[in-house]
This record gives sequence, structure tokens and C-alpha cells, in this order.
Amino acid sequence: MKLFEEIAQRARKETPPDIDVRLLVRAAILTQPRQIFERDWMDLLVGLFSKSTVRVAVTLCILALLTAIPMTQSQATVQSSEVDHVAAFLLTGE
Amino acid sequence: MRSSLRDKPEDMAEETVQHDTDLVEQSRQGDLTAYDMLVRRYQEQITGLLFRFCPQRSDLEDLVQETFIKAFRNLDKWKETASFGSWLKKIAVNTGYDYYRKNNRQATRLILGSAEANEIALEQLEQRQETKTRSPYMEEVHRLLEHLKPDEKLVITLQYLEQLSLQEIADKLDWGLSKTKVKSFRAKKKLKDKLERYGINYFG
Repeated sequence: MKLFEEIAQRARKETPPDIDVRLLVRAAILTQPRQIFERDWMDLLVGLFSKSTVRVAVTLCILALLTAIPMTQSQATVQSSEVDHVAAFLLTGE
Repeated sequence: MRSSLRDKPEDMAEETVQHDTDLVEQSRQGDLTAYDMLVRRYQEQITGLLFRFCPQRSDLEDLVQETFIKAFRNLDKWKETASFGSWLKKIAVNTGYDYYRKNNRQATRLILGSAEANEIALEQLEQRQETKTRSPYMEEVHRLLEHLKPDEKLVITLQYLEQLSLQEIADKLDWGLSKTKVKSFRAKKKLKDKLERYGINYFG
């Protein structure tokens, strides 16, 4: 039976290939200057919306707003009609 | 082989930090020759570290490159309280972790995708298998770790291939020690169950 530790030990002895990335890094930096790398507001939004909890929370907020707006509007209409009676009394005395 | 994540002896490190600071300062001002020197100085260590995450040469080259590009664009965030080398290694570990997560997503897509897409992906995998040979043991370890979650794979990589203690892993990943212990325990248990099916003992 082989041992995992033994396989890992042999793996540790293996050497990585010689890699020189200097030219590639330089080319990447020259083609994309540092300012471009910096995150803008769009990156932040995309990052934020990649989380499912944020998506659920925003959907709930929109639903709450959509149900609250008609209720507020109907209340406002009732109140405004009451205000009209008061205004008429104040202006005309009737 | 010595762990590439462990820092150099104090006296040597002090000298390096001093010199790195100047090079980083010049790089921040746009001096690419200075950054070139930093890349030359650290690319061997970073390659050694990322080799634990990805033994295939082509992907490894991309990961090393990505690490240095990420470091360049975040140079302003480096503080002299930590040596430039250990800051760079932290970026490399995160790059390796991203690589695990990306591969995990690809594996999921392979199962959920169409039959045609699966065929293409399997062909690509076979091509990869044909090109390997340079590091058979490292590739075997990665095959055995394939079914683990990315964070579990990360802990096992750092614990068994980089030979870091749980405290060192917690420090490198900015995780708490108890979280690291739990992740390590779960990963080992999962690995043990899988290895038994392959006829491989866990510890012996």
C-alpha cells in the first residue's frame, strides 16, 4: 500500500521548470498602464452583484418599494382631499 | 526541498528589504527596469511556490506572470512592515487559490454542460495528460486532490507540499487558527476516504 505522505514527499523533490516572465510582465504592464488596472465603480458594482445575498437583498428592496409606492400615493390622495376642505373653509369661511 | 514560503534568515532579509524598498519606490514612479530587477530576483521563488499549485508549465507561466502583474498594480498597497518577498508570496498564494477556484468551476461546467461541450473539454484534458511527464508525483498529488473543494485543496497544498504549520497557513491566508484547523480536518477526512478507494494509505 502506498502512503500519501510518500507521494507528497517525492512531489516536493520535483523541481519546477525554469521560467522567465520578465518580458511578458513588462509587455503586459506597457500595454495596460496602472491607471487602467484600478477598479472603477462599474467593477465594484459587478463585484457586488456577483454575490447571491446582495442580489436577493436588492430584489427584496425593489419589491418593497413597488408595493409601498401605490399605498403611499393612495394615502396622499386622501390627505390632499382633506386639506382642500380646510383650505376652502379658511378662504371662504364656509 | 526547502519551503519557498518561509522567509530568509534575518541578516540576509534585512539587506534585501532595504534594497527592495528602493526598487519598489522606483517602480512606483514608473521605472520598469527597477521592476524588472524585482521580477528577476523573486521569479524563481514564486515559480517554486506556484509549482505546488500547478505543475503544468504553460499554466504555471501564466500564474507567475499574473502574480507579478497583480503586484505591480498594487505596489502602492505594499507597506514596509512586511518584506516585499513575503508580500509577493501572499499574492502568489491567492493567485494559486484563484486557479483552484477557476478549475473547480470548469469541472462543474463539464458535468452540467452539453454532451458536445463535454467532448471538447475531455479532448483538452487528454491533450494535457499527453504533454505531462516532467513532474509525475506532483501531478499524481493533484489528481488525488481533484475532488476536494478549492479551500480544502489550498490547505492540503500548503500543509503537505509547502510543509507549513497550521499557524503559518492561518497567517498567510489571514484566516483564524481555528478556521484553518477545521478546514484542514475536513480536507484530510475527505482525502482519507478518497485515498482508501485508490488503495493508498493516508499516514501509514
